[in-house]
Amino acid sequence: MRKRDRLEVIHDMLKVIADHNNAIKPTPLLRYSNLSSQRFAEYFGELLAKEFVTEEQDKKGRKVIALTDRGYRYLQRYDTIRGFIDDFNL
Amino acid sequence: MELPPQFDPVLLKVTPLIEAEYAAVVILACVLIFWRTRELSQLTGHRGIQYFRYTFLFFAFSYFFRFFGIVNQIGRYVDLRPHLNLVTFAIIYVSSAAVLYLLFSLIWKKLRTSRTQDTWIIHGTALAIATVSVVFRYTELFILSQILILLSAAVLSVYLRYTSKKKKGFSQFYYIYILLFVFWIVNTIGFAVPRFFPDIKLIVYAVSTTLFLIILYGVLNKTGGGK
Repeated sequence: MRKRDRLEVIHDMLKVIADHNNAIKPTPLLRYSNLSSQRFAEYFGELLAKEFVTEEQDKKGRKVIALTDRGYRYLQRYDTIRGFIDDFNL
Repeated sequence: MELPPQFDPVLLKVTPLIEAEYAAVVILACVLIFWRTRELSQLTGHRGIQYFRYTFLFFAFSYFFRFFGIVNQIGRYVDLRPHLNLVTFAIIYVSSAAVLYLLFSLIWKKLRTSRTQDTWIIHGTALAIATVSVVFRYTELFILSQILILLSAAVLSVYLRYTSKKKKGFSQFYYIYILLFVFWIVNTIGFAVPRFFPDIKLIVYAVSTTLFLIILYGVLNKTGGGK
C-alpha cells in the first residue's frame, strides 16, 4: 500500500467521521483509519488541537467523535489544497 | 553628501511615478497572494504553503523599502540621506529572506530540520548577507548570494523532482519560478549597480510585473471557488 502523507491521513480520518453521520466511536475510527495505535493517537491529538473534531457524548452517554465546521471546511477544501501543493511544487 | 548609485536619480532613468506604479502593482500582487493562501495555510499548517506565503510577504516588503528609498530620494520629499544605509540594509535583508523562503518552499521535505531551525537558517543567512553587504560596502556579495540561491533552487528542485517516486516532470509554475528568479537577479543587479541596465529598466520592470501577476492569477485560480 502506498504511504500516505500527513494531509492525506487527516483527510481520510475526517472522511471516515463524515461518512458515519458525523458520530463515530474512537475504536472504529482507529480501525477505519488504517493506522497503528501510536500513530492514530498522534493524529487524533492533532485533529483535536486543530479543532477539526470534538469529543461528544451520544444519547446513550458513549463518547463519540464529531467533525467541527473547521473539519468540514478541511474536507471541502482538500482537493484545492492538494492541487495547490502539486501545482506550486510545494 | 554624495548619493549612492542605487538612489541617484540621474542613473535611475525612470520617473518616481513609474517606480511608484511598478512597486504598487508588485506589492499588491504579493499581498493578494499572501492573503488568498491564508486559509490553506491555517487549515493544513503545511510548511511548503507557509514558506510560499512568506516568500511573497518578503517580496512585498522588499519592493516597499526599495520604493520608499528611491522615490523619496528622487522626489526629495524626505531627506533620507542619513538613513540610506539602513534602507539598503532593510532591502537586502528582506530580499534575501524572500528568495530563501522560496528555496525552502521547494526543498523543505528533504531537509531533516524543524520549522524553527528553518526560520533561524533563513533569517540568520539573510541577516549575515545584509550586514556584510552594508558594513563592508560589498554589494557584489548581495548579487552573488542571490545568484547562488537561484542556482541552488534550480539544481535542487530538478534533482528532487527526478528522484521523487510520485511523478516526473514539472508544473507550469516551475518555469514561472525560474523566470521570476532570473528577473529577480536582473532587478537586484539593476538596483545594486544602476549603470548595468538603465536603458532596459522599463522592459525588466514590465516582465517582472507580468511574472508576479501570472503567479497571482495561478493562486486566485487555484484557491478560488471555496469562499
